Amino acid sequence: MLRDSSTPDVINYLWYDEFEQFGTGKFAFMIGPNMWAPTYEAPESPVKDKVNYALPPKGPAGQISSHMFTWSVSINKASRHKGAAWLFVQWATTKETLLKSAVERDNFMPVRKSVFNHPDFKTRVKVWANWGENAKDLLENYASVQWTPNPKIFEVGDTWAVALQKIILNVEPHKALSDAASEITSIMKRAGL
Amino acid sequence: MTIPALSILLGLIIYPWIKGIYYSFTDYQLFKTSINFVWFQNYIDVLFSEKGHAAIVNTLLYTVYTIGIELPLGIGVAMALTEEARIMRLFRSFLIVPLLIPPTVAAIMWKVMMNSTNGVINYLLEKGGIYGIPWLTHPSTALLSVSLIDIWMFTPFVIIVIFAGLQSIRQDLVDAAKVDGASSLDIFCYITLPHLVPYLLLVLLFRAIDSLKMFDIIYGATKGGPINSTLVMHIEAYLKLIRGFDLAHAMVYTTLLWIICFLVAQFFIKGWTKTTE
Repeated sequence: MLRDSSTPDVINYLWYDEFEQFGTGKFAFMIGPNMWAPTYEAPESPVKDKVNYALPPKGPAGQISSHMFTWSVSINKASRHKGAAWLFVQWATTKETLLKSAVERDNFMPVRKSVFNHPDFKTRVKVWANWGENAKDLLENYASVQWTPNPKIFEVGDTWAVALQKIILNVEPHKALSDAASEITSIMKRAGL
Repeated sequence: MTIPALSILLGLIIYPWIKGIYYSFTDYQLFKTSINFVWFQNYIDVLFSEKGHAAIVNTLLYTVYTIGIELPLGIGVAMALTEEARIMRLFRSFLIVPLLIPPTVAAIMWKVMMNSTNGVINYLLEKGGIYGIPWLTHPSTALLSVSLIDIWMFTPFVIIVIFAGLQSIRQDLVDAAKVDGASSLDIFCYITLPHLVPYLLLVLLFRAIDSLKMFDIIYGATKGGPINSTLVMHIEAYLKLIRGFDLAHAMVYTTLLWIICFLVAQFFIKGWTKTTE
């Protein structure tokens, strides 16, 4: 699909290229995080009111699955002001802060159900086509943290990405992925994992 | 008096350098608590791997492409700048602009311009009947494309140095040669070029080292892709350490790169010293 229907430059794309190209109306559709909606629905956005949101497609086993990307607020073990840091963490994750952050600052990743159900939040997303129902469905039924806690995840991911680049450039998929699998095995062996 | 300078040299340069070389002979990964000596296994891994080959070959090719074009282009433009025409005086003022732009910004700017579907370069080429150059998106053109960014940025440096060399040529020598019937080509071959040799060696030294260890232009434009076609040693060292936490292999790449830079520097410094004696 990428080879036949996307720009040749997609081979070098990272997430922000996809974000930018869809946001300027160059792409018809993309798979990406729904937290980009505030940018796409901003008054000055070229794609405002033209975006609809869908669940990820079903996999071969007929299931929908979605990775929940997260950030964490943490306190360093070496911190000399753990008390103050803990107060900050509490403030940063209150319902009021998360609501203000989402509704007023477009930081659209609240982690509290109470924020998602707040009337101000619902009013904000009401004009974004089906974003509200879609996000709720995703969070309640399909999304989970699928981050692989492995120190080699980036190197493995890069190796897999190179295989995808080869496939886009017409290398036979089985060969590209087999070569990637061998390299990944050797990466993991060298790491003792 | 020398103790503070020596301390800085030892503490911030010599010690980390030696420690880094030591790590290249171990299996040190940042998430492991133990470090074991593995002799030359890492060097064998790098030198006999596809990625290692690609990184070394691309590094050398990138250097050849950039210097191969920057040097003759720089000499040509510097010679044109010696003309007293008004446009040349104006051009001298704008010459330095590419050098003022941070390399990563330049890379991103050129990446946008080289976009094969929306970029301004292909748009203008299409007006002239040339269609669909993939620039940064195909392995066959990506390395040359990032080299072009380097050439755009650093040819002004070559021009400035060569221009300074040209300005120092004694005019009476040139006049005497003209009186004796020497052609422009004779003057260039027998007066200009020999006089420029120390400046050329200086430029080659700086540009060779810079090109060998190039990181920001290539990383900003392609991150080493597509399919490792622009992967150079400095980028692979970064990826090994920052994305793979593999300090040992990262240090192998940086040590090999240091060896290549050292040999190149020695060659040009010896040549420059001979010409200035």
